[in-house]
Amino acid sequence: MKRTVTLARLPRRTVLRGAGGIAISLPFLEAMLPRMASAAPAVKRFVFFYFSNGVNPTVWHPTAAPGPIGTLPETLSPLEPLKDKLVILSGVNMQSARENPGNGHNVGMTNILTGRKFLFETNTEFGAKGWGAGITIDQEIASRIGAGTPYGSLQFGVQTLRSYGANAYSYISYSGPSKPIPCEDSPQKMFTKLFTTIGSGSGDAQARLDKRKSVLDFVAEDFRQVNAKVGAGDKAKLDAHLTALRDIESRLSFVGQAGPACTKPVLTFPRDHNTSSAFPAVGKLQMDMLAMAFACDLTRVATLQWSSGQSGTTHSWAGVNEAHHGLSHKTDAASVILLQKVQQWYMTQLAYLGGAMALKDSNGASVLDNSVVLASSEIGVGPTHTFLNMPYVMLGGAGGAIKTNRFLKYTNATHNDLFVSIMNAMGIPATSFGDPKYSRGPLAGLVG
Amino acid sequence: MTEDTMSPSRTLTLLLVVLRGAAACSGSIETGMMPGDEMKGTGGDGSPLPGEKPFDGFGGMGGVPPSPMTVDLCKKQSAGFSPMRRLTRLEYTNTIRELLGVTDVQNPGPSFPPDAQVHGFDNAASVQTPSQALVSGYGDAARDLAAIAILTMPKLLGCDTAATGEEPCAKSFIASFGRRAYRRPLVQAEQDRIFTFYAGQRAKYGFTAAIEQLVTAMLQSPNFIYRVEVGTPTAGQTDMIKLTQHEVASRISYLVWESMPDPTLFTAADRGELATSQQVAAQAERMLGSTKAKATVAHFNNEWLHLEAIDDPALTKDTRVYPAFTPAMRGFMKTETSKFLEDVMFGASPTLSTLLTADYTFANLRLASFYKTTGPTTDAAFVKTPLPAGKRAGLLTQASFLTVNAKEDQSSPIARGVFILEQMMCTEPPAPPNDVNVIPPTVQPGTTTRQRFEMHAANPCAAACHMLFDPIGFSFENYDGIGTWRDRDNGFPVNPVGEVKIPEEMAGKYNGAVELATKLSTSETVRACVPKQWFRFAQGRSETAADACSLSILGDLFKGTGYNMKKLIVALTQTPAFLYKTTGGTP
Repeated sequence: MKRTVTLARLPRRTVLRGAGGIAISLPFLEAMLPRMASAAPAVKRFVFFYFSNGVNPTVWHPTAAPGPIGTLPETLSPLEPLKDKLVILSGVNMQSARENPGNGHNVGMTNILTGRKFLFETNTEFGAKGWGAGITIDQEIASRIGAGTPYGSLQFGVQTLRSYGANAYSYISYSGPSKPIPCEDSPQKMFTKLFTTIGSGSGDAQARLDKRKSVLDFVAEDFRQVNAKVGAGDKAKLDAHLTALRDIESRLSFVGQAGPACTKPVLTFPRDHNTSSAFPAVGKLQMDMLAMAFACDLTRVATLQWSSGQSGTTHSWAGVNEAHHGLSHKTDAASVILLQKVQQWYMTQLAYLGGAMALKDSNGASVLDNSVVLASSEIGVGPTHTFLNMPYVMLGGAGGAIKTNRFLKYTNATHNDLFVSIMNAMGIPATSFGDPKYSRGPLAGLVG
Repeated sequence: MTEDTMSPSRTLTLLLVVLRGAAACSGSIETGMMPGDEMKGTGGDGSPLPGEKPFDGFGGMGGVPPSPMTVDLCKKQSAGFSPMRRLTRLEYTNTIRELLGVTDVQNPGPSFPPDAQVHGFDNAASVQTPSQALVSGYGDAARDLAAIAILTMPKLLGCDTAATGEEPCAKSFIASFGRRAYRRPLVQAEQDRIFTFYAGQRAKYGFTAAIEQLVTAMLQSPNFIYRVEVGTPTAGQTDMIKLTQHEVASRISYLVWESMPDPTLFTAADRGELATSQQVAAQAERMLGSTKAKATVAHFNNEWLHLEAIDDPALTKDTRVYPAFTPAMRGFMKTETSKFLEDVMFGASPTLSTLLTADYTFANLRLASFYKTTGPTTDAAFVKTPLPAGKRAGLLTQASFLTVNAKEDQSSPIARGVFILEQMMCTEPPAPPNDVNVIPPTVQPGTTTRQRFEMHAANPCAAACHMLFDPIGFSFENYDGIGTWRDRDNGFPVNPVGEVKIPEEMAGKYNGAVELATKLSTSETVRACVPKQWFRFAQGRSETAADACSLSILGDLFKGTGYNMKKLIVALTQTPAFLYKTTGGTP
C-alpha cells in the first residue's frame, strides 16, 4: 500500500486535529492505526438513546420466561435483526422518580440519568418542576473512560428544544446539580465540530494550535485572578468554566484509537433542522455521525435525545398525524394503535443506530459489540406517568462483558443499580450511583 | 447633567442616603459614596455591628414617607446573596454589537445553547452553567469575531500605527478596549500583562495577528463573559459590600438595556457621578428613554406574561375547531399585544391599571372584526382601537393571552387560573401528586368546559388545589381557546362567575374576566407581585427573606408613583439588593 507508506511519515497529531474540529484526511489514514489492531483490547463505549412519552407495556415487555429472547414483543419487532445483540430488561423502576413529587415528564427527565430526585424550583399547573440534582451516568462514565479522546462526550439532539425551549423538560444530561448539558440539535454544526478539515497544511494547523494554547494560557490567568476575588459559589462556576475550557483545548491534540472504518462521512443536511418534517432526516444524520465518531474514537460516550420530555412531535412520516404527548394520554383502541406506531418507529431508529454501529472498531470487533446502547423513556406509560417497570432495552455487549440475546426479569430493581452494572461492564469498579438511597449494588446476572 | 434631566428622578428617588461625603468623592474614581452609605457592616444575623448606626437614611420619596414597615424592615441591613452573573445570549449579542459594532448577521449569541429559565426568566444566575457546549461556543465566537474585527483595524484600534508606532498604539488599544470589554478601567498591572501577551504574539505572528489574538483572548476572559463584582471592601464590612461605580453602571445598563454601559454612563462612573441614589436613578431614567429600553421591557413582559408561547412551534390549535387560527392571525395577535404593551409602558400612563383595564387595544382590520369593534381599515396598519365595553379590557382579554393559555381544542380554566395565581398574584399552588393522570377532560357533547373542569372539585384530593385556581379560570369562559367571545359553550349558556379564595383581601365572587381585571388592578397582592417579578428579572435570582427591605422599598415606590410600572424599573435601582454585593452564604 503505497499510500500508507507515504502518509506514515506524517506526525499523527498534525493530521487528526484542527481548531474547532478534527481534521481527517480522505481516504482515512490507515497508517495511523495501531499496528497490532486486532490484539488491542476493546475500547468500550456507552450510548443512551432517549425517546419521549413512555410505551404501551402490554406490547413492549416480553411475556415469556427469562432467558434467550424468543419472539419479540410487537413494539420491539424492528430489533429482530439485532436480536443476538439485544438485552431486554423488565422490573427495573426509576425509584427516585417515584418518590419525587412533581410533573411526571419533568421528574422523569431529571431522574432518568441522575438517579436522584430533582432540585425543586417551582409549582406549575401540572405539578412541581425542577432541575436535575447531580451528575448523570453518561457524564460519570465519560469522566472515567473518556480521557484521551478529542471529546469527553457528545450530545446528539433531534429537535430537543422545539417543544419546551431551554427548561428542564429538554435535557437528560447533567454535569452536576442544576448543570444541564445541551444537545447539539444541528447536524451541520455537529459535522463541522467533528469532521471538518480546517487549515490546508500541517504548518497552519500547528500555528492554530499554538495560538489557541497562548490564548488559553492568558485566559486561564484571568480566571485565576478573578477567582481570587469572588465568593465560594462564584468560584465554583468559574472553576467549572475553566475546566471546560482546558478540557476542550487540551483535547484538540488528542488522537483516539481510530478504527479501520473511520472515514469522514459524506452527508447532506436539511436547510432547517428544526422544521417538523426534518425530524427523521436529522435523526439519521445524528446516528450516522454518532457511529462514525465512535469508529474514529473521537469520543467514547454519547447521548441521542429525540425531542424532549412530554414531546409534542407529530410523527406524520410514521403515519401518525397527532402530536405525541396528547396521543400518549389517550386510551381508546385507535389511539393506542397509533401510539404503538410511534414507539415502533423509535425502535426502528434504534435498530438503525445498531446497524450503523456495525463499523469495525480498533480491535477488529464491531463498534456495537464494544458498546452498550441503553434505550429508555422518561416515563413508563403515557396516561399514568408510572416509573415502575421502565422500558429498558440494551444493544451491544460492552466488549464481551455483557452476554446478549437475553431477557432479564427483575423485581423492583432500581435504575441506579442498572447504571452500576453498566459502569461495571465498562470496567469501572462502582458499587453505587446517584442517590445512594436507591443504590444497592449491581443487578444480579447482568454483567459477566 | 442638567437640572432638567435630574428633576424627574428626584420626584422618584428614595433618599436612601444622607449625602454625607458625596461632595468629597466627587471626581474621584471608584471611591464615590454609594447610596445607603449609612448601611455599614453587619453582624452575621444582619443586625448592626456594635457602634454602627442602623439603616436610618430613608428619607422618603416625592414627599411620600416610607411606610412604617419599610422603616422597620430596613433597620436590619440585608439583601439576598448576589451571585455572579454571566451574560445571557441576548446580553452577549447586545454587548458585542456595542463593543465591536458587529451586525446581527455575524453575531454568534443566538448560536450558543439557550439560557435556562427559572420562574420563566432566562437570566437566572443559579442555572447559568458553563457547559462544554457554551464554553466551546464562546471560543468559536471569539475567534470569529476577532477575525471580523481586525478587518476594520484603524477604527478598532483608535490609533494609527504609521503615525504613533505599533507599541504606543497597542498600549492605547489595550487600555481603551480593555475598559470597554471589562466594563471598568484596567489597573496598570493588568495592562502590563495584556501587553506582554500582545508582545509575545507580535513577535511570532506580526502586528495584525497579535491584535486578533488579543481580542480573541479578551472575549473569552471571565472579565468579559461574567459580570464580575468585587465591590469596594471596607474594613469591618463582611456581608454587604458597596459596589464600585463601574459595577453599578453595569448593573444599571444590563437592567435597562441588557447591554454594556454607553459612553455617557461610563463617563459618569469614571467621574464618580454614580455616587448617590439620585444620580443612579437619573441615569436609569435617561436610559429608559432610549429605544434600547423598549427591547428589555418587551423581554420582561414576554417572560412574565408567558407571551413567548405565541411564537412557539409547540403551540398548535386544532384547525377543525378553530379555523380562524391561521398563521396570519397568529402574527396579528402577537403584533397587537406587543404594540399594546409598548404603548402601556412607554405611553402617558404606564400603570398596572392601564395594563389590566385599558379600554383600547391596537388592532388591524382582521382583529377589529374579531373583537367586534371598528376603527382599523386595513390589515397592514395597527391602530389604537376602542374595545367593546364590558366584554374586553386590558391584556387579559387579548387574543394572544387567551390563545396561549388554552388547549388545542378548548379553553383552559386551569391554565388561565394558574397564570393569574402565579404570575399576577405570585402565589404558587401546591403540587399535585406525581401519579395523577394529568390528561385534561376532552371535549364532550352536552357539556360546557366549565362543567367538565368542575369535576376536579368532585374529587376531594384534587379539589384542595383546583379550588384555588379553577374558579378564577372559569371567569374567562366567555373566551374560547383562541379568545373569541362566546355567550354559549357547546350550546349551553356560559357561566362566567369567578371566585378568588385567597388571599382574604381579594376573596369573593365576581362576574367575568373584565371584573377580574379591575379587581386585580387594585389588589394589594398584585401590587406586591409586580415588583417581585421585576426584582427576579433585575437581580437574576429569586427573592429571599433577606430581601424584605428591598421589596418593601419597591412596594412603597410603586405605590407612591400610582403603580407606575415604568418608574418601577428606576425604583429597582434604589434598593440595597441592587446597590450592594452580598457575599453571605452560597447561592
